[in-house]
Amino acid sequence: MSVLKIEELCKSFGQIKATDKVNLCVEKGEIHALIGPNGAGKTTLINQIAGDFFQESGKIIFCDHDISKIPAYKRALRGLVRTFQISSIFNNMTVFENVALSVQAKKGHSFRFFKSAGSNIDIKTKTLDYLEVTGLTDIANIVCNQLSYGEKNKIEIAMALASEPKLILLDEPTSGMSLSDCIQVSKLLKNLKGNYSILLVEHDMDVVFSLADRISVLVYGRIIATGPLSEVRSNPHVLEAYLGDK
Amino acid sequence: MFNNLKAIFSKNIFIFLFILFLMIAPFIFGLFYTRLFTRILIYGITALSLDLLVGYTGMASFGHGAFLGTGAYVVGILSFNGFESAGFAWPLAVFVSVLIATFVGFVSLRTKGMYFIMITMAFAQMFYYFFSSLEKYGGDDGFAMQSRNSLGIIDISDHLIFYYVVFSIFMLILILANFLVKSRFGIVIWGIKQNENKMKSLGYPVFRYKLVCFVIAGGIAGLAGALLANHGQYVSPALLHWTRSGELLVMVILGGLGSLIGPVIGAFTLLIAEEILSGFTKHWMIILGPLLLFVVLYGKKGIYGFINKRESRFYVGS
Repeated sequence: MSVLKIEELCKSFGQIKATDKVNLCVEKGEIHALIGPNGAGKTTLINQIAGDFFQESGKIIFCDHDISKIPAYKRALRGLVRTFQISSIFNNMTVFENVALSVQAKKGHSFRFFKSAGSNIDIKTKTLDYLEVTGLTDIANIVCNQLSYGEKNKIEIAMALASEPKLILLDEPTSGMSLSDCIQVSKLLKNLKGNYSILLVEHDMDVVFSLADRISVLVYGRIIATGPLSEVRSNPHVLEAYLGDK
Repeated sequence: MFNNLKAIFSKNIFIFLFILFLMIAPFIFGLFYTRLFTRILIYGITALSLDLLVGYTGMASFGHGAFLGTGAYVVGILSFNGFESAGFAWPLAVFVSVLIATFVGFVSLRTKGMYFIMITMAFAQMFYYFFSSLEKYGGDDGFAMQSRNSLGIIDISDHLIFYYVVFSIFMLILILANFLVKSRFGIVIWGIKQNENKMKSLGYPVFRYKLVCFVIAGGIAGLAGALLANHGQYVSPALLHWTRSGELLVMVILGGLGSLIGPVIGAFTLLIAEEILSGFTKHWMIILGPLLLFVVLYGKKGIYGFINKRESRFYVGS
């Protein structure tokens, strides 16, 4: 069963076709990697799936519903959750508050003006669970602007998990990281494998090859190959366009 | 309620002393200054409501005077036509301000940053010219109210009694706002201030939260306007002029963005400085300007930032 199905998606900026008739399918429980050279339109595609941009034509089917026209926040509430390439968290909040805010988003509306946020036991215990899973318990009460890049990306992932996703769009979770941070994050992702459906955009081929079940290769806005690791690796188009000099 | 009061006071001895001072100020300084302190409290309420937008949600509104003025005009016009009851006029002032804030917010919250500043200012100017054009109500000059509203058995025509009515309302709003900023709604607007896109991607309908916050702030400012009309027994379009909205912003920034008592301290400082300095020279802003510069350069959180170093957190321990 597929969680996400994209049909003939198109988007251009001026003369440039950033997304050119893209078809893509993410199966339930798989880690599907999306790779491609710089400027191939990976992040543009992620933005359209998340609803941050709208496509010009084509369809996005998520869990058997057409979500092509609904706004980003509604997609998020349905379980389509993204992380950002440049980690995007709440820098003046503690790690705990960041994750709690994500848990709270799933608890119905927040037009609750009188009861203090901290008194909700349910939010608290759930937050602690997600901190535990992502190994952030020790730094729960540290304000995020004091943390390293790798830790921030882990918080992003914790927040994504806390919003009870049916599909996570991970936009370069290891970009710009030190080696040790990178190892930590890919270990975390490996633990998630099988339990979550993930569409992973990643530059680091070691990470991709060790995590992904299937790979799609995007070049100039087009998907030129999709399939399991071994197949894509030996596809002549891919070799030419992307892995050629590796 | 009691815990909340305790929370406000226990944070800092200065806050406790400041509020205690406001409570007994009329007995220390006498009648003339009672009227000044009434004005300080009313502007304190307005600045506090503006800080819910600027400091807590990150929406720099340059048109908050519109709601203050609307509240004042509602009370003034009612009084002009013989409706003297505060029980009727004040809630109506809040209601009309809420309606206008809903409309203004609905349009202007589609923009951000500099555009938001400009569009809120434009709206305020529109209302300024609207009220200026009401010839029946004094046009440019505004008009005087015959007397203050009647508030049941409480005789607010007495300055001292009026002071304590305003003080009670001030305390009530301070306490309610303190609940608000600590609530789940509070953490949501704080999140919006820090990272609006992330809030969207977490599934929060950001626009709705901003609008509700804008409306709450507008309603509070409307109530302050009603009090201000009663205070001076005079209503004038100057309340809606953009320079007044600017003064409100100065109060907030001077006192401390992102705190509740900070803007009140700002209103206090600005109005006291005006009172004292304008006795020496009519160019009193020449002295106040450098003070504002100093505060903004050396303390990002305003005067309140100097006396309170602790940040409050939504979740303590784990």
